[in-house]
Amino acid sequence: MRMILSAVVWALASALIIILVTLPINTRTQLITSLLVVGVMMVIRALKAEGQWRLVALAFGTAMVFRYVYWRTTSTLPPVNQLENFIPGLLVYLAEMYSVLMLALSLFVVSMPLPPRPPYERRGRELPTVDVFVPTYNEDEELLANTLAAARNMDYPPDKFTVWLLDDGGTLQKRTSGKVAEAHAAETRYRVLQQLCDELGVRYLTRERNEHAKAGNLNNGLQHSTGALIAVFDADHAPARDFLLETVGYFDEDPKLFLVQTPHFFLNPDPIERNLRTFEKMPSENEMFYGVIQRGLDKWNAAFFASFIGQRSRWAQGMMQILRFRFPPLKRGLSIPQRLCYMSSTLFWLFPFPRTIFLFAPLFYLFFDLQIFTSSGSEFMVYSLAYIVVNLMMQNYLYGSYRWPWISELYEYVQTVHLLPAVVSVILNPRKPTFKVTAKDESVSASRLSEISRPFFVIFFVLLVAFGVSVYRIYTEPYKADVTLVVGAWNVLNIIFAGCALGVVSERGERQASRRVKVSRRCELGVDGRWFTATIEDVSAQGSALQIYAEGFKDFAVGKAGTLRFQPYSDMPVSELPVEIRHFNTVGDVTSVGCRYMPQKSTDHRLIADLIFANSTQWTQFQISRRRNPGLIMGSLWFLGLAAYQTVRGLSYLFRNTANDMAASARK
Amino acid sequence: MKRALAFVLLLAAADIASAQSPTPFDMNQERGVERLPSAPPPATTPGARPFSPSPVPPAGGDARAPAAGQPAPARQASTPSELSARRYLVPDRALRLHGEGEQRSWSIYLTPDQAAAPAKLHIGYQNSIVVAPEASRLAITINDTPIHNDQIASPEGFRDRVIGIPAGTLKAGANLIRFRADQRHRTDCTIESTFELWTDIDPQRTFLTFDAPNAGRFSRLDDIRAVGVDNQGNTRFRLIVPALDQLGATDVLMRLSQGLALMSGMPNQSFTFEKTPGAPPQPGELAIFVGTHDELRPILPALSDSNRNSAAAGFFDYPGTAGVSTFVLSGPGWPAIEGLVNSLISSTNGSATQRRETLATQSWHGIDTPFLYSNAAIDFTRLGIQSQEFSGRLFRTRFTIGVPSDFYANAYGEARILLDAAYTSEVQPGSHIDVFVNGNIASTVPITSDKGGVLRHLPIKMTLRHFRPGVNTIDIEAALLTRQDAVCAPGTSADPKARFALFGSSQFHMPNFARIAQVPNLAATAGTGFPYRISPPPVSLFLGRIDEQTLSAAATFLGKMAEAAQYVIPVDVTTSAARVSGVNALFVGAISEFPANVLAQLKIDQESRNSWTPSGSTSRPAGDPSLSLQDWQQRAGTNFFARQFSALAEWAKENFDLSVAMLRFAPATEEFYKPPPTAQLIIAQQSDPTELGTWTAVISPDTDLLAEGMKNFSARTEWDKLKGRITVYEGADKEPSEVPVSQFRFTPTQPFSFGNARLIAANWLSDNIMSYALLLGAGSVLLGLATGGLLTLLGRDK
Repeated sequence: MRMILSAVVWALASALIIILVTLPINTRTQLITSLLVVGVMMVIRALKAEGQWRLVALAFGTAMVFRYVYWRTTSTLPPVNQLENFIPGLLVYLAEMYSVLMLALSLFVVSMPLPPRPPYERRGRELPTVDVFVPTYNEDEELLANTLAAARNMDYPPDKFTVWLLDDGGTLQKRTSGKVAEAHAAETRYRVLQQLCDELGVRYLTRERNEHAKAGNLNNGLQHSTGALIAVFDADHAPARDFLLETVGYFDEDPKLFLVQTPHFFLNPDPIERNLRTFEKMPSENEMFYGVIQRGLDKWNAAFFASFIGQRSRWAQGMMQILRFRFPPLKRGLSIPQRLCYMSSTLFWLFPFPRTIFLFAPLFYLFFDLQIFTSSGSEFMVYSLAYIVVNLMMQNYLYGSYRWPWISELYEYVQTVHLLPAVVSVILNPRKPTFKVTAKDESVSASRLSEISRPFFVIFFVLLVAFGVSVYRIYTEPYKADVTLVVGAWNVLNIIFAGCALGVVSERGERQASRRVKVSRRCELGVDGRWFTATIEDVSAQGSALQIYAEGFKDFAVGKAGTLRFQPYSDMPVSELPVEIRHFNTVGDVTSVGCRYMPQKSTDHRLIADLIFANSTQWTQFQISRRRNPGLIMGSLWFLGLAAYQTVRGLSYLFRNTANDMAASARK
Repeated sequence: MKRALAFVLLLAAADIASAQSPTPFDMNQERGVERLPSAPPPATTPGARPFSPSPVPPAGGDARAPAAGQPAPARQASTPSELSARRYLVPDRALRLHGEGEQRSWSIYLTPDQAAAPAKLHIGYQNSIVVAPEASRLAITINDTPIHNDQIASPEGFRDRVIGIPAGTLKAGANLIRFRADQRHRTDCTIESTFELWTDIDPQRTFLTFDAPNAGRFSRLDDIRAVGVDNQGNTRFRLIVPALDQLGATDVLMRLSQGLALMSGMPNQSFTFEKTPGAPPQPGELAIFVGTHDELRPILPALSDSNRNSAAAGFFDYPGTAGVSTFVLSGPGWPAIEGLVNSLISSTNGSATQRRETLATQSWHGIDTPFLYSNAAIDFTRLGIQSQEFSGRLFRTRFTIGVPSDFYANAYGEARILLDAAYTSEVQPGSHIDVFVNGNIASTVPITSDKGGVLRHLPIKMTLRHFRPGVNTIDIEAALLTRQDAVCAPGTSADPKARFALFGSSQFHMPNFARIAQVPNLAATAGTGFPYRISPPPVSLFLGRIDEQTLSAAATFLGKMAEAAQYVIPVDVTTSAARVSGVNALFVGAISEFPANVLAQLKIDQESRNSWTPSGSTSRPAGDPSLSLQDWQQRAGTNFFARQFSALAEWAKENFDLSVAMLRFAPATEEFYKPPPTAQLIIAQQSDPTELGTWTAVISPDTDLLAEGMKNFSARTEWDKLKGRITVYEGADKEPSEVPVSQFRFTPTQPFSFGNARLIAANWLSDNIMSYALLLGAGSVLLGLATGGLLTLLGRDK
């Protein structure tokens, strides 16, 4: 009953909004209304009103977006009899409508995200047996050692869980391959990994033939498994110590549950974070997904399993395959909200098309004088500007602290340049997409231009020429300066993204390949046979920083070997880990030492894993520290500054690169 | 009575009801048979102009009269019969053909006698000194037959031409006259220079003469339509009614005037009332004798005795003249005359409920105007614009569109012109096509290509803001810049190579617009006679007093309204304001005769009864009215923020036509209006106190000004400026000014439909901006809260 009443009220409110929005009111009314709506949204935002008021602000925004759509649809399309204008005009229109549709779907999805699921509490119940699968194909030993060590270190009764390495790189088929070199490599791998597994207490499993790739590998694992539950980690995904305890309880709660997924956290910044140096202060891209979207999807029972994140091209192709073969809105057995949610998730991957259109649309006018958007300058200002501002404000409202303004657009732009060919290929040929396997741990030691930088520079310079054309035309064609100004401004926005992307493809030489995490842990450092009490201040995958109470000991030296002794959290006795001193600094009695792990045996990896993955809280702390909402204005200014800096940096790399190349060719 | 009816119907029925079929009212024997035919004017051959004096100019024999030509001597010099045989052509006070190409067309009505008679066209024109004669031509056609096509070469004074009209050109009934001037500048090639190009056609020197004795005589009822215009484009019906101050007669006279107005359909027509016949009728005038046989007999000796017993209408010669017909309605008593008038009217009267497809504009525009009620697309050809090429700088053309009285789309509406046009590569970017509605700019389309272009149904959005009920004039201008013009070598301006073409396949597209009547809205009254056309009869007509002047003003006003409505509005004359509540009413009188409550209802300051005097005010109120606070604000406005704000306000005004006063939730309240002392006449409209009827008042300081003011205001160009809640007329040399409507009531005219309601809301909310913002805000809050409520019930909650 309450349901029907609410639905009726909602339907009436929607009808009122639709009627008001589709009234053909004049431009000045629109101007005043846009100003007021933006004002109200800003006030609600400034008051940090949440709950119902958040939805009210979103409703204001929705009304404005609808008005834009109404105006855009009824007043701005070029006449059909001018095909040269109409076709590009329609493309831009469709691209915009795609954006609006995505905004609408994401509004629906994250209208009221559920709070994060509370961690499962042990209630003294019997824990189920778990088989932990780590499938691998070509990952190297060290990476696997870290992952397996972390898996082994998980806080769980040792008799209740078994870690399995499912190796598809050492199958019989590979070891007896006709190509001698390959067969030899496989044989070596088979041997080395077996030994590693033995030392770590992990079961090694391989099979006869490489059938059905990863799925076949997992199925082979299942045939040997006896556990009540299966946990699967990719070779480059190390679990935190509390992973199993946090997750297995859900299977008790819901007997029909078949899958639990937890958020990922990337130890290594992606190229954007690395080259723009935003990793420390800005939330990662996937945090928006886990932090908001999955919670929103959860509301509609539509959360989904995503394991390929990071391998965007494949993910995009996979989603496009789903879209083509199993169009979610028409799929039986799903509720309507689920259909909408899955549609949102799959359609998202069409973004390279609209992004491309937005990128090149201004050029139609600036270079070819096509009128793809029929509107006066003042109308454009009143409708489009209001729409853009309201749209940004809504994004900020929805994703605020997880996604800063303009960053999504930058990501989309950077990915578009790469993804467009992939998405086109899967649309044209959905059954045989061409996967390009991406390098997983790309650590860069020298400043240089990325191999993929060429198209970015080409696009940037084309846009720059267009900018020149727009300035020229404003002066030489004053009679249509208003339109040129508007289109020129649009082009400038594209230049900002394109310029910022130049920084993304200009690789910095990084001193430290992976991030440090603050910890505080008692230990002892042994140097030259003396033991000093010390505190571990921070850890990374490569080493640690220590504060040593050195008691006047002066004999530290860079490159000196030492031993770190500490009590692991996992089921191991007090252990010693060989390290090498990389730098030190003494202030009074206290010496700060940076040291690098020098693992010699497999158990050393378990110790390292114990240091890094001690518990998930430390990672959460780090994530929360960079989760803050700079606001639309400050965020935009920050982005503008970033873009300016990165443009200059990208161009300077280009000049240096070109100069080097020329010097090299001169030497030849 | 019965016979009279039969006669009138016969008269009205067909052209054959002429002299050949004698009727009891055939006035042939009354015509001055013995009178000599009027002397034909000496023919003037165009070539020998300077040496052959035309009869028209005054003494001196010089065809080139001074620029400020005086018509009066010409009139005095001519005998009445000469004059009566003269048909002035121009339906306006002045006719100026402006710019590089302007065409004006209209139609005149001729009697069969006139059409059959040998006729000559007299024209007198003068042109601007900068018009290059070798490249400029004046062309005149009648019924599409070229009559004249010659150089324009009379910069120093008026030149008169007399041209014989080929036999068979003129027709009985409507004849289409077209004047076209193509003019080029002697020296300049700029667009501005084209504004200096003009040719004035002098209405006083431009007329037709007929070489036939009976050309000035009317014999059939339809001939009333041949009343024509005087030398200033005006048409006047002089009602000579000895018993006009009888209250019973006035209703009939008001009906008769409207019937005559409808019949003639002239653009500038007025009525006067006389008790005794005055001077003989001049061209453009028709005298109508109305009265019982006994009343008329003393002043119209020719009246036959048969009228003593039955009502009858017919044509006589005006007493003391020959060849000048006058219309006589007489009968045994006023009730019989009333019956006669009613049957007379029924022949021309339209129906109040009938849907009109066109508005009658033939008499000044050449063709009738399509009347659009909703979504419609009309080809330019149908609007009178043919495909044409143009070689000059500033192309102009014009058409008219009619919209109904319940048009309510000024705030939001947009019509479109789907333009088919082409321009050559000589045309430079920076050229533009402008559209004007009723003289106000409504749209500008820049030409942005320098490679030439063919525009196929190019949509030009134009605001409906300046549309008004009734006839709307839409001008299209193309300002064409070329490199040759920028250089302007000798002869460039006269280069006949076409650079622009407009095609008749272009369309005017009117969208569906909101339809609901608003009261007050004088524009609707002027345009289509709303609300009196559809009001339940009769309309109360309050007259300040019943005298010649008041009746003249009332008849003129009613005549204009009837013409706009194409319907004779039944009126019920009263001199008591107490009877006119709850109904549609008209008030005509001097302000002192207006009851206080009527003035209050019309929101006119009571004080104006004393302050508004005919002489104009001698006691100007102390202080300078042009001194305003704003001036001083501007003068003293050195404050930084004040300047920023005023700059912002200016920007908003310029780009969005937005001012602070527009930021309102509902219409502003209206203040009581006080007419300026210089006003000759005001026309005011409001709802009546019961909010059911509409009151419209024509008010002057005194009755002389009332008649005079209303007569002058009856000119089409003035009447078309009637709008707002009050229109103030201050004489012919000042534009009528308007007190705009702010508060009004809606009167539904259409059955309810969602689409119409939506458009009405769009217009109202576009006018009351803040209400829209408020509604949208309220809707958003509601939607937000409702969504919140629904979301807590839908989906998972943990």
